[in-house]
Amino acid sequence: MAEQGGRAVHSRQALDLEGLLAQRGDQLMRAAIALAGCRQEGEDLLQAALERVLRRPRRVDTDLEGYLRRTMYNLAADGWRRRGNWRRKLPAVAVQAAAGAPDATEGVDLRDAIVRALRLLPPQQRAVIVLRYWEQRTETETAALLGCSVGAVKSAASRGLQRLRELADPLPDDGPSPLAPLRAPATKERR
Amino acid sequence: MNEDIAQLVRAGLDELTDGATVPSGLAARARRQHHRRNAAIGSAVTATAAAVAVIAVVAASLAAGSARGRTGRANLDAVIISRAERALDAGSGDVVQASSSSPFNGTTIRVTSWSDSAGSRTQLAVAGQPPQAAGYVLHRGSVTFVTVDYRSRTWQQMSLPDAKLASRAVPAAVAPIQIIFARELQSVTGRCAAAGQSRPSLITFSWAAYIRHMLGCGVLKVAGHGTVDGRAATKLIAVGLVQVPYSAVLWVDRSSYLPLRLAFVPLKGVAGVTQMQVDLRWLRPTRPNLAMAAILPAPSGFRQTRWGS
Repeated sequence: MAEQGGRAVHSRQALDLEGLLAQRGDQLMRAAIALAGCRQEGEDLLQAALERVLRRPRRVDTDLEGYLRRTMYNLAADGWRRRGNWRRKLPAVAVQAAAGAPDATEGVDLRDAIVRALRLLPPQQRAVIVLRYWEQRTETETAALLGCSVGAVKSAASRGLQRLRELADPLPDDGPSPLAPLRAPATKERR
Repeated sequence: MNEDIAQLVRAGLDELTDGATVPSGLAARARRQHHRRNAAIGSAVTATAAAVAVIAVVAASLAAGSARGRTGRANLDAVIISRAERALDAGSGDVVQASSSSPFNGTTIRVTSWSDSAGSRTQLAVAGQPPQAAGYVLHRGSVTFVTVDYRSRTWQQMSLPDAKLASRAVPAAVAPIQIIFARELQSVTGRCAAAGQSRPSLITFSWAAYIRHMLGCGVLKVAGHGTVDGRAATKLIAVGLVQVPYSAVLWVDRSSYLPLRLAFVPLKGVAGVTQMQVDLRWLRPTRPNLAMAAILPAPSGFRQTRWGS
């Protein structure tokens, strides 16, 4: 790492990604899985973030982990896969991507339903939900990490939670919703 | 109510991520993929620039589209290859079973090998005859080669203090099919060696090491899908090969990304070259599976003779 104009600048060779992963890799991996929704895609996300860091080593300030995390959050929020045209080809290859779809097994656990529903949220909403309710970041921190306004975070969080309720609601033929106990009474009254 | 669902999100994600650890070698894979991507973009940009120079504005826009297509294609290749590398790393403790059959004098030679990190055992069987076995054991940097002849019920061994020095000292009778494959693989990955990427040992042959080498050196591209023994698989083909009269085809499982089959397919119109194919299975390191990979101890009741006799 070399100092330039008071700002720490990493050369590509100096980026100690191996050292960072040895110390903080498991935490980063868990964050990546939460953002991506499954382990394999979590690995892809973390690897994509590492590559992005390698591509832009000069943007890394003294906090390599912070930069890597921000990169990962932003890639997740942007739906990093959806941009390339190869994304459209991937489902044909990665059959386990279908694991995100709800199955019809009875007695689906409530938490599983929520996690599966989380995968179906738009990337921005999913990233906000993970940062706000799993990493317990404040709205201000979340906004700073994702590079958006606090209002956008509030809006995404509210819509995300609402959408989670809808998505985790099974079809009528599948029996009662695992989220039924959480439904607002007002909703029933309006019906 | 929001608090309730937020708690569910927390609990669900805690459960999802519980016990997750970062896979070993992730940073190295990111670096390799970064280099591959740079190379792909570099070649696409070069092609674009050449087209611009020759055909001017209209052709340039077409070439730019082509460059984007190549970049997207490179990304697909990179994802599949990266997942296959991860699968190999995750399966590094497995016993690799490799099977191949070749016609020989009107009959068929069936060669099966089992290998793990401690060594390898290869069994060569001709229809109607007792098998022969050969293999090696690695121990603290030294290597011991062993051959077992089931016809004469004898076995031989030779030890070398440094496995790295073994490259020219061992007769090809040890694991011949691997030697053949290894030579072809060395041709396939020749340009990686030229670029300074070290090759795995030819003698202490490891399928996992060679396939990882192929994946890492950027000669493989995704070529489609199919099935291998009823399993959904993705087809990777080595491209840009020179000086070899065939294409190298690697099939990886579409779910686990572990290699299922490696084949060398003769190019159209090339005579005198036959297809070589090996089918791979990745076995859990259970005691019976590990025993399959161990060439020593020799079968009980067999007599040891002098090496080379």
